[in-house]
Amino acid sequence: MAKILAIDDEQQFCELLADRIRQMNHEAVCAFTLQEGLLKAAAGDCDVVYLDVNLPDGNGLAEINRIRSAPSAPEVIIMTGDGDPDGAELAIKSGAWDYVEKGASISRMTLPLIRALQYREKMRAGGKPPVLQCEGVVGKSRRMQLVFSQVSQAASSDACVLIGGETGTGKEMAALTIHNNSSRARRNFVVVDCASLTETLVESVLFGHVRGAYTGADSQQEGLIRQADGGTLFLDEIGELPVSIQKSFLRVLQERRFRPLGATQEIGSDFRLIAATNRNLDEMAHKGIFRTDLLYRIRSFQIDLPSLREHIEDIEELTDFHLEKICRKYRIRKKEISPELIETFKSYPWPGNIRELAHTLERAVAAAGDESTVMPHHLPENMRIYAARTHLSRKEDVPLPEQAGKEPEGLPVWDAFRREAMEKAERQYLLHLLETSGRDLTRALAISRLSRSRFYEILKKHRLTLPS
Amino acid sequence: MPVNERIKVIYYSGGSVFEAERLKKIMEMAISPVNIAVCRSLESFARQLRHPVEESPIVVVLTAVRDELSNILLLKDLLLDRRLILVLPDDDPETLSQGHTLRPRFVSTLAGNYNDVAVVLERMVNHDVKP
Repeated sequence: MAKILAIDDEQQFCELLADRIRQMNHEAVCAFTLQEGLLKAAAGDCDVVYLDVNLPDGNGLAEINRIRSAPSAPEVIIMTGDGDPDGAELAIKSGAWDYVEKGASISRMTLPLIRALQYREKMRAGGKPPVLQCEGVVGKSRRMQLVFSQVSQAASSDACVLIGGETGTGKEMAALTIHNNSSRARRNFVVVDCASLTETLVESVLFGHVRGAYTGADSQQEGLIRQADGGTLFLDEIGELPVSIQKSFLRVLQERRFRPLGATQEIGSDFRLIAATNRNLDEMAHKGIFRTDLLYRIRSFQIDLPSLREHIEDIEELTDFHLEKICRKYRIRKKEISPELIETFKSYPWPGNIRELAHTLERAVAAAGDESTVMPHHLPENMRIYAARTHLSRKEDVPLPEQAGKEPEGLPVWDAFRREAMEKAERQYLLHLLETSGRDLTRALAISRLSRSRFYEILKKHRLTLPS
Repeated sequence: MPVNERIKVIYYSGGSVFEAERLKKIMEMAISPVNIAVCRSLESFARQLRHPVEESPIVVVLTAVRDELSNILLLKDLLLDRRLILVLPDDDPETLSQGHTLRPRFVSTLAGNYNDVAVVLERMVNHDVKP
């Protein structure tokens, strides 16, 4: 018997759902406000939480992570009466198990509950995702934990996988991690970069050709599909695959057999397909530039990688990981990262995602030369300008601390609020002071009119340093 | 460690001078006037790969014999995050397997006429494929 918590301010509906859950021989508990729900979830023994989006004392979507972090790590099923597709997307991206409309029948609403409980049962029975041998996929955030879990599931199956995500989010690394943790790990991981192949080239590259198959085919060539036999074929930027090739590739996926250009006989290849794209394939299918049947076939399992902005809490770990890699590459001693650099990184939107971070760090390490610590002034000019502008625009706006000592009425306790606001303001001042003074002690003291000992004391409190 | 902002293509070919020149000419015709940094020794190639650049350059590697491929594999850590075009000495399954461990964006062999390499390189350089 599982324990299910329903958080909804519509008491009648909440009780109706709870009755249905009890009929399924599970324990059901109701909470009619977000705060009450959070307290009950934190008690630590719920398996699944039904969570309404619009609650009188807050937005359910904003609290998914908090609920998930309860000791029992319950699965969260989001409920809304709005039928809002953006909300659905946000719910899934926030780590919800599923999303249901309150207008649906009660039986339909309990379907995801059955699946969630089956999944938890499997995990309890030892089906816990194995520890992955990761290939540069880094992060401890909730979003990345979800990715690891999906990658792990994908690695244990042989289904086609579609990896989505903005450019630079690490789609190839995720694909490689799946391959290296799968039963095909000892065989080839073959990359096909669809974006760099022309329409005329892609066919012969994929299927191969015999000598004389076309003008310029001076010798026989084995195609990449065949080279992936027993292993994994990674189709990067599959959205760029010409429509003319999509049909023949779909047939290969269905039959695992194909005929090289100019050949008279078909050959087979037992490959596993992982495809990646930064494009909206549904939209392309709707426009008729991507085959719907191929899309269904390649999307047996879908993993969406978050943009770096969506898991910015991982920036420190990512920075450390890439810095170590870069220093190893340049055969230099690993450099330190200044806290101010991390602050700058946290405020930057990273349109190029992790690839941009790695590239930025590489340039910063080069700019740092013999200095042992990488600091903001080693960053490219555009990034420093962005950080400065963001800093100035925020200077007068001390944000309301959201969590500290929050009471059920939604307002924080005065002392906690004041303490947190002061600390944030102090830290902002110090960062600005260090930047303005060029990290020069004498100038910093002159500007701030702080005594040397007081200055060091405050720096230490905020874990900031000056170069020795 | 000054940042070199001009190099878009790094080309390594340590073996056959004839093949090296043949591929170089074909590439130059395809992407002229783009600057190609030519490396004829593993040391200079490694040095070039360790040189920070404004934009991550495309790397073209021509291996005329299997030993040369084995040597290139020693530089795997420097090559894995690059856009790599790899020309292999032959299409033996063992050779192909070794080549794929470098995760090249395009693979060709010495038996070809390099036109495929030129087409892919031109597309990568001029169509801004994946920074």
